[in-house]
Amino acid sequence: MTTPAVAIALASLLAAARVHAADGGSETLIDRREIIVPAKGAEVVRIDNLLGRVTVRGVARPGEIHIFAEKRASTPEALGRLRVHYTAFENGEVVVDTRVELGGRERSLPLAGSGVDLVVDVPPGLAVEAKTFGGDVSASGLRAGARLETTGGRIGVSDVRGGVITRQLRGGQRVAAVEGDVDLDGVEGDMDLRNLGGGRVDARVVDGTIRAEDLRSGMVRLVTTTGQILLVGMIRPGAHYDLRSYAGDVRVIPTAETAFVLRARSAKPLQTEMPLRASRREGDWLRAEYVGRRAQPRTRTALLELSSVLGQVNIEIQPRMAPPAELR
Amino acid sequence: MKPGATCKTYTTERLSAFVDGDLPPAEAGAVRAHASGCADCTAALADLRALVTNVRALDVPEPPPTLWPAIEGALHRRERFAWLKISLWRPVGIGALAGAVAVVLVTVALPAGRARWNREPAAPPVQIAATPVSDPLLHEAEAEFAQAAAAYERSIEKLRGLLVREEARWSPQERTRMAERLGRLDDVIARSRELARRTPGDSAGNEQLFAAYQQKIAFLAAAVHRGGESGEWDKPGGHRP
Repeated sequence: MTTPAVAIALASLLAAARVHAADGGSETLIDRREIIVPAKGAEVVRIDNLLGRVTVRGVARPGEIHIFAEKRASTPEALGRLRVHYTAFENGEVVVDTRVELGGRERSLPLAGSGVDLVVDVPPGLAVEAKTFGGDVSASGLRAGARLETTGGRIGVSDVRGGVITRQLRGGQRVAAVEGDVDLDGVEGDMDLRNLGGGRVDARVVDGTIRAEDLRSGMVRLVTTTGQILLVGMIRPGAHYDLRSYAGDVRVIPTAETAFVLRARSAKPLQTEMPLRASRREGDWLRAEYVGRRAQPRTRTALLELSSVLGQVNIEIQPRMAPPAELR
Repeated sequence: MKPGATCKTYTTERLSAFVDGDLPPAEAGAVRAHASGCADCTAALADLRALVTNVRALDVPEPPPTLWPAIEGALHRRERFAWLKISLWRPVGIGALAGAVAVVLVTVALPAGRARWNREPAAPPVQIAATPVSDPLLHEAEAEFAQAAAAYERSIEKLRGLLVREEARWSPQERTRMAERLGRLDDVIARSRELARRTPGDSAGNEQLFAAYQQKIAFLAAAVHRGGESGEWDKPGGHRP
């Protein structure tokens, strides 16, 4: 493995720019650098940046990680105390972290007025773990999954193969085009899920709405405490959907004919124009079946469990239901 | 350093300090450069980092119906490891922490040792790092942590408000049990907040505080959902009709 000294030399050759940017009357000093980390044999990259944003992009540059770091501060002294480090270990782990020098020590801390934003281009086959504090964190173009964690930043994921795990206090999440298991957790902020095709989707948020469209997973579990849930798309034959809100409404808009068993409970009566049959009560729950007018007889039945303790459950008919793509 | 390692360039204490970020920048750079070409030191650093990861992973709660037992277990563990983290980590280093963890694990595995741990819930004295409290960047960092803590508190208050509605449907025993468990979580949060307050500039203290908040939020959210669905939130499978 190439030594960091070589990489540092490359970095200084590629770019080292310090610019002054006007920022509402006060000047912000900016220092931009590109660092190339030799990553031949690397398997995972861990990025820990409590000082700002992290953007990870899968880029086909075999054996190299490119780090674009932008430091910003209001004074040269503060700018000089912001550091970006990387360590390439022989076990295939590459660690990128940012620190601020405080009292003779370099510490991983969030700052309000100063910071470091990182754009990291990695070979697509690397697994990625990234963590921020107040900055947004996003990942795209990856082929070995990602774990993203932030306290107050937004989370964005697109075009990823492999498992995706997120953890967030607030800020909202957009997750799209993932082929792999998805496990999302948030406290405050809306979740927007689209085009997910792994075996399982599990999304939980305390105070936020979950909007999901085109989920093709066999197990879909969406849970919010105070927000609403909206699921739009084909009900996959044989899949299990568990959608629960405590205080908000739960709406499902199927876009294709799939037979399903429904279990629903809500404070207000179930709203649907779909022709349900064999309806009966099981405690607080309503159980019913939907056969579908054009559903193929040999397709497996899906299970929809929909619950809203204080709100309403609503199953709407898409104006023109098309037959499932694989049955055409 | 791993048994059998032959590189003597850096002691375990220096490598621990490197992982902790305690080395001066110049020495940290030298360690980084050396480690990239030294299998022994790479392995030692990987072990030290893995130890940190493993200790943090102990805080992850399990979902219902085992949520509370998991949280309770995590609380016990956190009380132990918080002590290790704060009082041993910084001054002595992760290498020493690794040894200490091993000792603790052996001790905890023994019934007598476990009993002793259970009888000593109070946290050992915390060594306060020398920190430039007047540094404006430190104030910025503390303000950021405070904002996040306030956001956690707001979410907790919102969940507590929802829980009031459900509690009315519970038996007195269930309400008592809930109050006890929330009291335990509040106690851990108070301890963590105090640790964070006494170690300004140390993100580990705040990480522990946020982990405690997350566990309380997970517990409250589970209680709200399960209480809302059956009125018997504490019975495994009770949310199913």
